[in-house]
Amino acid sequence: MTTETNNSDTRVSEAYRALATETTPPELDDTILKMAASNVPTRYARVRGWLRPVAWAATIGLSLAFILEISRYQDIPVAPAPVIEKVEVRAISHDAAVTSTDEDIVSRKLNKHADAPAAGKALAPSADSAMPAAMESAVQMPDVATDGAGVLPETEETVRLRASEARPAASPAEKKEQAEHCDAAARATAESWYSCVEGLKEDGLADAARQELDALLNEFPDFREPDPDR
Amino acid sequence: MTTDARFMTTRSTALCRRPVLAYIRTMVHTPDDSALMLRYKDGDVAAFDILYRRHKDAIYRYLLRLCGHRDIAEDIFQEVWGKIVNARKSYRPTAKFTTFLYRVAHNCFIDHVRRNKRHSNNTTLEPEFHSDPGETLESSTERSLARERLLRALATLPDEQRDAFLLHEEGGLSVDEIAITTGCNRETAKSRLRYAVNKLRAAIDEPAEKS
Repeated sequence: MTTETNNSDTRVSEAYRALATETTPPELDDTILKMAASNVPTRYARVRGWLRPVAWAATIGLSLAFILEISRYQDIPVAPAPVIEKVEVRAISHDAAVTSTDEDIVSRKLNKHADAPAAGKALAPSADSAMPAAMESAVQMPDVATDGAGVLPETEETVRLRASEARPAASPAEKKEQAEHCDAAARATAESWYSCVEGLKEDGLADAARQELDALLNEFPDFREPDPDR
Repeated sequence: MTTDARFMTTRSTALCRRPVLAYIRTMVHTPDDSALMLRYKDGDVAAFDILYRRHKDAIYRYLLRLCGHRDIAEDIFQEVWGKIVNARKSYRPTAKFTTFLYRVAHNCFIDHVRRNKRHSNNTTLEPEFHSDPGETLESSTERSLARERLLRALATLPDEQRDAFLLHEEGGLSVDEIAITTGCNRETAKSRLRYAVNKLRAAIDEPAEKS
């Protein structure tokens, strides 16, 4: 620094300092400061820079998700609509109002099951899924029945029968399960199967007996039902 | 110093030794040019405003003395700051900011000279004299004549010597920094500066010796 001080004479520096009083014009200052400010992007401009790519990405993502969802539903076969069987109220009093109320309750329950989005359940509704609806309707039955005047309380068998009748149209697997009131040993021969059917009739399960008899005739077409008159 | 003042000084010194206040003290401390440029790089326009106001007049005078024409100097001045603004994103504080700034200004001037081969040393500048209120007419006239002689001598200096002198006076650059800015070696820069100062001193002393 001493060398530099020696090089630059102090008097020359002072004289030059006294001379150098020029300043920049204000309009030039404004021009340059505006240029500097415009060169820096604002916060909104930065956000705006990201806005378009983000919007495109979101649109593409949502479209893909929608298409995948649609294709997933197209792959699933539509389950047949459950057949609502008319509920027979085996009460002593055949009040029309009571019967219609039962039908409404049962149909509401069945519709609820039919509208459920779970496709797997729609495909093969198991006994577990069908039973609560039937049981609920069965449990509600006495309440409904007590509403009507002169209606006697239902027996346990009536409730069970109604529950089995109120069950929605069963799938083939369920039908098979329902049809198999007779075990495999009884189904081994036509005679033993028929004796099982007879047993069902004696127990009062006429429908089950009829189903078993139909199954028997399908399985053994050559079997001839013995004449009851003989 | 009164007792209260001494107490306050002692207390403030003790407080400033604490880390938090030391941090505040660094914030109050005037930021250097590179820090301001880095802040501007990060989008702080106010930092550029400080930086610009710190250097604008010196750069303007540097270019004004080099060109000798006010309009040309303003054009080059705008070009220089335009380049500084555009260099915002790529700026790295590898060297002193003043060196960087004057190198840009020097290069802009060289480009201007190359573009306009008709560049002449004829100056159109009129020195702006500000006489002191208590100064007598005789001394004021003598001072103004000395300044005029200095200005004329400065205008008649070779471009390289004038450039070296102005970089030293306006930019406050050292000989090494002048060498870096003008792209020559240290000895060349040093001799240019010495020749320029000697000529200017002779121009100032000339009438005094005659009288």
